[in-house]
Order: sequence, then structure tokens, then C-alpha cells
Amino acid sequence: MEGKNKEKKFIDDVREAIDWTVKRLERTILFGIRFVIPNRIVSPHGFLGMLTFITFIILGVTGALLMFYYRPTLTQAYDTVKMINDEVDFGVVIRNIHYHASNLMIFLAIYHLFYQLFSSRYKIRNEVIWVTGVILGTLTIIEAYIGYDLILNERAVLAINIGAALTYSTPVIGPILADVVIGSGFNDLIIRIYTLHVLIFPMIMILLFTLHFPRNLVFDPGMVGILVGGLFVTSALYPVPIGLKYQPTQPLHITVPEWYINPLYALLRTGIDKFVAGVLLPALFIFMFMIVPFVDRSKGMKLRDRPVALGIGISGIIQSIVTTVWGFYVDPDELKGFNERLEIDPILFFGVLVLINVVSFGGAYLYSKYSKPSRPVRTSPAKISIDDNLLNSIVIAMVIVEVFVIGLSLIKYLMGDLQFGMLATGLSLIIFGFISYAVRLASGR
Amino acid sequence: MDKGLYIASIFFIFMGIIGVWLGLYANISETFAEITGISLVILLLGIGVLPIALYRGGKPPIESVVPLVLLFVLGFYTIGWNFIFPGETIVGTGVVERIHLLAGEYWFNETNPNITVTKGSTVIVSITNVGEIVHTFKVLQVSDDSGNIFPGQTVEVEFIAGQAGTYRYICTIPGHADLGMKGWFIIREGNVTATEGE
Amino acid sequence: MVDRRTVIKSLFIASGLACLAPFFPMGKFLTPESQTSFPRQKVGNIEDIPVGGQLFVVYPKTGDPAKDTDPFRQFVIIRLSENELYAYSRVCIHLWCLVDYKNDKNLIECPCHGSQYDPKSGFAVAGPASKQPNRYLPILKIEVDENGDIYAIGIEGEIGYGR
Repeated sequence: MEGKNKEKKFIDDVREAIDWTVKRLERTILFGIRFVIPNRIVSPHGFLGMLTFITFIILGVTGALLMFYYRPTLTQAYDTVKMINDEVDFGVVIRNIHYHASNLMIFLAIYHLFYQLFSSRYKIRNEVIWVTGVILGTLTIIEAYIGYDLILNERAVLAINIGAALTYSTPVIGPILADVVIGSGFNDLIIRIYTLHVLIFPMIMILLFTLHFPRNLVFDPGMVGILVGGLFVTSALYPVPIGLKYQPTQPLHITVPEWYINPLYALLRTGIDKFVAGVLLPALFIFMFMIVPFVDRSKGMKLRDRPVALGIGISGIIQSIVTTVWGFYVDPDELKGFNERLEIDPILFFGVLVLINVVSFGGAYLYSKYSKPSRPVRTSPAKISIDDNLLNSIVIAMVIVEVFVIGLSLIKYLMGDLQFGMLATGLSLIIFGFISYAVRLASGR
Repeated sequence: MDKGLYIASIFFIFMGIIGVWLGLYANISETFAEITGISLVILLLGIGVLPIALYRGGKPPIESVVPLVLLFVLGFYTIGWNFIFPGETIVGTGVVERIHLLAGEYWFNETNPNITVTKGSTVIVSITNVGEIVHTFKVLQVSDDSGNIFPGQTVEVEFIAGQAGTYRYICTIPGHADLGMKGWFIIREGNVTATEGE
Repeated sequence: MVDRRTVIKSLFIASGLACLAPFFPMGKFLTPESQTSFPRQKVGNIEDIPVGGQLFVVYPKTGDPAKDTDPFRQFVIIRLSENELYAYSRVCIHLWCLVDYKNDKNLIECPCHGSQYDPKSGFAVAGPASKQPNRYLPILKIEVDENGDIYAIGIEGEIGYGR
């Protein structure tokens, strides 16, 4: 009996200590934010914002680590990136995660935007959140674009070229902005876009986060596990190539920019005025999204009652995909000259875009006018009835598999086989995600 | 069934199939190959989310199977067919023909001569760059790209002359063929048998 | 009659806004000096250039090898005849390769994709550079003194973009 009292006292002491700390932490901002962890299996759609933010943090951490080795000068930029890839221990891991996370963040941000658009979440006094969100999305794309400029390989210099030409061609503020960013040459350019990428843009984005995050933040450890695990798996399967070093005296091959810049690339290749193609039309596209809560004044939340928003949504998706894929297309006839292979017929291009808009808005209008509201179908709820014991054994089995996979990845890292190691790390994180869901299922009785 | 998630997963699967097809099998443009990786990821994401979409919040109605069947047919027709029946491989006769070319600013061997080989032979073209900038070599529709040949370097391209016909050989650096680095590569029919010691 | 309190309040706000005024000229911090003030530097002597030949110069030279290898600081001076000198930026306005003068064709040529410029005006006559709206190579302004020394005194146009 004595022993049990002593034990109880120890647990009580621990509880008191935790209580004490929590009461102190409650004075800070972090504990003022309400974190909501769901206790059921929920649709991942509502968590896209959180996942985007987690990816942002991953980018920050890997980016900071890359800064230890990268040097922003004309002669050393490419060489240090190559050094990170080839010589630094685990450098290839950090660099690949940074690259894939940048692509993932843009993908999640766009998915997040369209989910909020279609589920009319911008309506309930959320207009400011919506506008800051669109601004954040644009900043993310520019930030990613500047990021891969820093490598100074062939593809990066092509992208810098396009960016410089667009900046110069902007009337009024163009030449001044070009002076500020490009300065007196490549050396100035590199360190200025380095500063923009590493500090200025992230700081502006963090400031905008404070105006974009809702008061109740959702967090789901399972989804985060699957996300980070997926990052490691894709990094292992698709390592990013380093490309060829930029030489001022050697010709550049035809390369295609990253997929999120491709719409701009396709627009520029139509040959119309650079400012209109590269700045005005994309700005118009972004503006179309920004004004959605202001043009959609309908009271209903269903898509049927909001033809304008539905039209904007469908036209946005289809236009983005068509321009991105078109940007990838290069005339395969290698006998032609540089410009002829890249040319896109402006009449065909803009004709297709206009057609998409007409079909989207027309279709949305017809849908809202003629579709009948469907009566909610009563189906029997899908019950996942798993015996408690079976569930427990599944969890234990998954934990054993996970420990095995972690061990495998550690061994592979020691042996120097980084690719396999990353694959195993990713799989272990994904298994952790599934374990958390299984545990939630078990405890949700 | 979670309707939003269902539409999203159908959309992703569709995009993934189209992307993989464009990248690997459509043969429309070489630069499309870059989208294969991301399309595969999107396709797998769509397939992975599909069970959650179908069963979350209730059993799915029977009509939800229709788009899935259509997608499966599409996937089989575009990707699956090519996967199960890849193109035939060319078998050579074993005869080797060697050709040496010099590459310079905007010519091969100064006169861009016609090159003639016999069908079925294994052709090895070695190109030495005597110019000031980088060049490449490729026989369109017949051989692979040699890759960058830097000034002073020599690179070899090996391939089997499979189909008879008249083809172009060029330097694939954008603009160089237009400026003159192109010539005719002729594969003629012939009864060539492999003789020993050749 | 305006209320005294309103006057004082508006003076307060006005003085606050006026405090922002000294910060505007500070915007010059962002543009590096070399874009607005060009030093007068000797880049060579006219006798160094054969008639019909060219000379590659770096301007503005800083002595720092990292800066001096920057393509944007490379210029070419062409001597077309005994007393005719033309100086241009070597950065091709198509995709920024370095151009040089070909005597046999009497054209400035870019080795990368075949753009060609007229040496007397810097106007792009052929190749991808001739398809752009801005088709002139930027000029390096030079002076020659009685000893034949060539001094570079400024740049006209945007390097890499045109004039």
C-alpha cells in the first residue's frame, strides 16, 4: 500500500509540473491560438491550408541549411550548388526536399484556392482572408521562380532573361525596377535576388500569414506524416538534375521553365507585346480570382446559386491546365530555327482561351438555370466495423513494420545509398500517418 | 460518398492519365517528357484518395461507377496498351560502318556531304568539334542525340540503320540546322550478309 | 470657423506625414552607383587595334576578378578604318551570349544562335535578335585623346536589352 501511495505522488508531481508550465505558457500568443485536432477521419480538403503552411516551414528549414553552402556570386553559384549535390553529406537530400517542397507548396496552394472557391468559404465575412490568400499565392509563385534562378544553370539564365525582358518592358516603373534588381550586371543581380528569395519575400509572406490564418487552426498529425513521407518518396524517385552550367560564350538549348511559369512562357511565345503578354494578362487572371467574393453576392452556398463563381472556377482550372501543357510543347522539327520552333500562333492560342471562357461561363449559367436541386439521397452510412482486437493487432503490426523500415533507412544511410534511404524514410512516415488514423479509429468508440 | 472529394479524385485520375500519355506515348513533342513524373504522382494521388471519397459519409450510389469505368477504359487504351505491347526492337545484320565527321560553325565536313549506308548495318559516327562553340549530331528519326560535343571533343553515336529511306542529319543546337548544319543521310536497301572477320 | 482642436490635430497629422519626406531620396540606396555615374577610364590605345580588327575591354574595371568577368561589363571596340572606332556592349540582346566582330563578313556576330549586327549602328540585321522590338546593341561612349588613348565615359542603352 505504501508503494502505491509513493507512485501516486510521483504522477501527481508530474501533473502539477505540467499544469504549472501550461498556465505560464497561456500568457503567450502561441497558446492563444486554438488548435483543433479532429477525432474522426476527415476529408483532407479542409486541411489543405495547414498542409501548405507545413510545406512552407519545411522550405524554410531546408533553405536555411542550403544557405550554409551556397554562395551568391556569378562564378560560385552553380559550383556551390553542384558541391551541395555531389560532395556534401546528405546535401542531395536537403536540396531535393527543398525542390520538391517548392513544387508541392504551389500545387497545394492552388488546390486550396479552388476548394475554398467551390465550397464558397469566402462568403462568411472572409473577404479579407480571400484577398490575402490570392496575394500569397502570387508571391509563392514568384518566390519559387526566383529560387530556381539562383542555381545559374542554363534553365535559370533563360528564366532570368525572360524576367529581365518583362521588367524592362513594363512602362513607367519598368526601367527603375530593372535598375534596382539587375543593378550593374550579374553579380548585383545574383545577390539581390538572393536577398529577395531568402529574406524579403518570406518576411512579407509571414506578415500576410497573420492576416490570412483563421482563428481556429486545424492540425492533423496523420496527414502531416503522409505529406512529409510523400515528399521523401518523390525526392527518392525523381532526383532533381543539376543541369548545365551557364557559359556566356556557349549557346543555350531550348529548355522549358518550371510548370508554374509555363503559362507565362506560352503567353510570351505568342509574340504579342511583352508587357501585355507577360504582365497584363496574368495580372488580369489573378485579378479575376481576387474579385470573386465581391462579384458573387448571391445568398446561397450551393454551386447552383452561384453561376459567376462556378464559371470563374471552371474557367480558371481549364485555362491554367491548357496554358501549362501548351507551354511544354516545343515544335519537334529540329530543322527549324530557334524562334520558329518556339512560336505559338496567337490567334489559335487566344481563340482557345476565349472559347474556354465562353464554355465555362455559359455552362455555369446553364447549370444554375436548368439543373434541378437533387433531393438528398438516403444511403446507409458506411460503417467500418473492425473488431477491437483486430484493430489493436493491426496497429501493432504497423508499428513493427515501421520500426523495420526505419532501421532499413538508417542502414542505407550508413552505407551511402541515400536514394533508397530516402525512400525508406518516406515510407516510414507514411506508415506513421496510417498508424495515427488507426489509433483514432480505435479510440473513437 | 463525399461528393467534393469524389470529383477531385476523378479529376486527378483523368489529368494523370492524360499527362502520362503525353509524356511517354503520344510522341508529340520531346519536351513533354518532363510532365510524366508529376502526372504519375497526381494519378496515384487520385487513386489513393478514391476509396476515402467513395466511402466517407455513406455508401456510394451505383451511378458513381460510370466515370470510373470510363477512366479505366481511357487508361487502358492510352497507357496500358503501349505498356503491354511495346514497339518492336530492330535487329541488325552485324555489319559495321564507320563514319568520321568534323563539325564547325554551321557545317559538317565543310560541305555537308551525303552519307549513304546499307540497311541493317550498325553505323558508328564519330564527330570531332573543330569549331568554337558547342555542337551536336543526330540523324532525325534514326539515331539518338549525341549530346553536347565541346570544341576539341570527339563523341561517337552508334545506331542500327533500321528502315530504308532518306533522312536528315543535323546539329540539334537550336538555330544551327537553320544556319546550315544539315545534310542527307540515305539508308539504301541491300543484300548484305555478315561475313566473318569484318 | 474652423475649430482650434481640428487645426491642431491636422497640424499633428501633417507633421507626421511630412516626416516621411526625407525618406524618399533615400530610395537611391537601391540603385548601384554604376548605373548613374560613369567613371572616365582608359580602356586601351588606338594603336592596339589593327584596322578592321577589334579589342575586348572591361568597363568599369574594378580590379576584382569576380566583377570583371561579369558578362555585363564586357565591351568590344571595332576599328573599321584608320580613324573610325565603334564600341558596343558584347551582350547579345537575344539570350546574352557574348558577341564579337567578324572581319570577313563585316558584321558583329553572336556565336550562339546566329544573330548578326551592323557594326556601324549596332542594328540587328539577322537572327533571333532581329525579331525583337528593341534591336540596337547598347553603345559604349568613348573619347580618344591626342596620344591615341581611348577613354570610356559612359554607356547608352540597357545592356542585354537594347537601345
